[in-house]
This record gives sequence, C-alpha cells and structure tokens, in this order.
Amino acid sequence: VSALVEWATSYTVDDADAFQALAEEKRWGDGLPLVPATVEKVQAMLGPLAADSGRVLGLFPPRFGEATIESLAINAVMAGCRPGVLPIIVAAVEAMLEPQFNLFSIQATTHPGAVMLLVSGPIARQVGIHGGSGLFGPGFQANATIGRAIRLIQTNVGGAYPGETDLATQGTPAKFTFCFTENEDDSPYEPHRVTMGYDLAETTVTVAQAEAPHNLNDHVSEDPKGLLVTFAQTIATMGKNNAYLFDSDYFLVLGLEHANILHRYGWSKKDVQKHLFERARIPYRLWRLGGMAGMTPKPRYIDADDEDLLIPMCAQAEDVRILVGGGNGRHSCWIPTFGIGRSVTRRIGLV
Amino acid sequence: VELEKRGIPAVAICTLPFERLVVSATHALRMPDLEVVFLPHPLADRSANQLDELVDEWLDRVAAGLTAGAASR
Repeated sequence: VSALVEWATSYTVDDADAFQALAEEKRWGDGLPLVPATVEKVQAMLGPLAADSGRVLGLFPPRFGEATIESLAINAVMAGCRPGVLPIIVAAVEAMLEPQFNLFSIQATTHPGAVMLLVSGPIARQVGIHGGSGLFGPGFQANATIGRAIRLIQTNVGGAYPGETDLATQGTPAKFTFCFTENEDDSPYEPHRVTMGYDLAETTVTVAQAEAPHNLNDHVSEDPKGLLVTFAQTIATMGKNNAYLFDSDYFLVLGLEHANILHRYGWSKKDVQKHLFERARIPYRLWRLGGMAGMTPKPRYIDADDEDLLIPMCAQAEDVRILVGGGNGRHSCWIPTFGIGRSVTRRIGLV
Repeated sequence: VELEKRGIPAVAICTLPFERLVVSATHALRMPDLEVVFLPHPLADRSANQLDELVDEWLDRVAAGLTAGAASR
C-alpha cells in the first residue's frame, strides 16, 4: 500500500498506456483499463478531505494494509470515479472494517462473494447513483466506478489477489463492481436507511458480503400470495451458504411492479420479512443430503429425528432485508450472502 | 494468531492452496514465525478412515509446532 501511495504522490504523467503497463506490473488493477492516478487527479479526488488524507481508517486484511483516506482516493481515481464521491467510499470502507462484517473471510473465501454497496439518501442522487431501470448495470457511471473503486481497494490496499490470496473457486462478475441505490421516487415503501433507523434527510451506505443478484421472475401473480410463493421457492435452495450458515442477513430487491402488488394489498416490509422467513425453507430430509450439511454445528432447533422439519434461510425475520429498485417489468431479485457476517449500515459523515 | 499473542502456543492448520494467503497475513501481522501446518488438499472428500490416517501422519508435526517456539517464549 505504502508503495502505491508513495508512488502516486509523485506521478504526474497523464498517459493511460504508460500507467496501464506500470499498474499491470505492480498488480494494481482488475484487468480493465485504469485511469492514471496523477497527483493532480488525486488532489481533486481528495477535495476538502485533503487535510485529513493521512488518517488511517483501519488495517485492511488479509495484508492488513493501512486504509488511509489518500489510499482510497488513489483507487477512486484509478476506478474512474468523479470527484465528490470520496465520502461515500470512506464510509463504505469504515463499514467494511466493522468486526461484524467479517472482512478477512470475505476477502479470502472460496465463496463467490462480492462487496455489495447500497448508497441510500440525497448524496446518492447528487452524485448520480442510479436506482431505476437496469440499476445493476451496465451503463451508469457512478454505480460502475464507485463499485469498482471498492474492489480495487480490496485488492490494492487489502492485498486480495484473485487466485492467490482471494481464493474464490470461481468468483463472480459482481466482484468487478456492485453499487446501486434504491428507486425512492417510485417505491411505495420507505427506503432502507429509514427502516434502519436513520432520517430521510441523511445518506447512508450499506455493505454486504453478497452474491450477484438472482432473478425472481413472476409475470402472472396479481396478489401477494402467488408472488411470495415464487420468491420463497427461489430462495429456499441448498446451493447457498444461507441454507447452512445463519449468522447473516440477505437482501430482496423488489422490482416496482412486484412492490406495488404487495403494497396494494397492505403488506408492510415486516409482513414480507415474516412470510419469507417462515415460507422460504428447505425440508430437513433434503437439507441433510448435501450443501454444507454436517460441516457446521446444527442449530439447536434441528431435531435429527424430525424428517418433516423445515430449515429457514436465516435466523430471524429481520434478517430478510427488503429494498425496492429497478424500473418497469415483473422481475425482482434475491441477493444471497456469505452467511458468516452481517451487513453494516453507516451514515456518511464526511461531506 | 490471537492465542499466540496471549502467549498460548498455537499451530494454524490449513490446506496447501491457502499457503500464500497465510504467508501474506502472518507477515503483515509481523508474526512470520507462526507455526503453520499445511495439509494436502482437498479434505472434504476424505472418508473418516482416511481422515484418521491423515491425523496419524501429521499429528507429530502439529505437536512439534506447539513446542518448537517454547524456548523463545
């Protein structure tokens, strides 16, 4: 990390090819072309945070590199971020360094987990983060580059090198970038930050150790009953860490049409959470045959003699996190998680 | 790592594909001499008997790791 910081404090040649060659030699990238991190651009990225650039937010595993504000700014420039987004990235890294996020594991695990970054609030709108049609990309500059900056920080500051210290068996395209906001303008429900106890006027980041979104296609249901059968049947699958590791939460991102159906029938977020906690379950007789059965201590409520027992996908209803995003169409998505570690929400403080 | 920091002898056990990760982390934590036993990979497909054999094969190495640094502690 210090080599990268030291080098960037004297680099002034704004030459993309030369920078790319150097970055590949130093292994600073994600495989895609990088923006040269010149002194000028890094200073512009730091903006009002320049006076605080040396502040260490924490040690980023597995290399335990010092995550300074300057090191984040350099990676933000390399990712193509526009000045003004650094407070979001700082808050996201602070959230990732919280113990309950379990950063070391997500950096090194064989599981295909990316860092999902939800930005919720006025600053998301101000910097152009998209929450409408096609929110998971491609095509939206702020989403693409802020999410990419997070991944570059994971590699360049944390030292998670794919294939060596990031030991994902297969990885996921979501590891390139995974940043979005909710469609607050059209959502019938309160945004996530309000559900989590923050004010509507505040902006928060939420990070989670997430798989790429899994589609929940229901084109025919006109009421919550059918819709939630589709959701529950898709979620209750054995090939997910969530089926066997319960110290975690997972996310449901409702498309607008699905959200409106649920809202029209008077369902609250809590109702959906409770329903999915109770209905998205796997029969024990199947659960015990594969997945991660036997690898972890069975929760106390699992009776090995009860063939009819139904195993939930999380420990409590509140662990089903409900968001609303996207545009027209009858698709929602489920975002499964790593299973050991919880999402962290933090207010963006440095503006 | 936490046990060693508290002065309790410890040996980390993992399989070979994780070697670079472990070396990177132990160096970063300034504990390059942490005793680590690297087992062959994978373990998940071994039967109980095969795991017993593996334990017999590697137990002395683990025990040696627990006592190796004793003089310097």
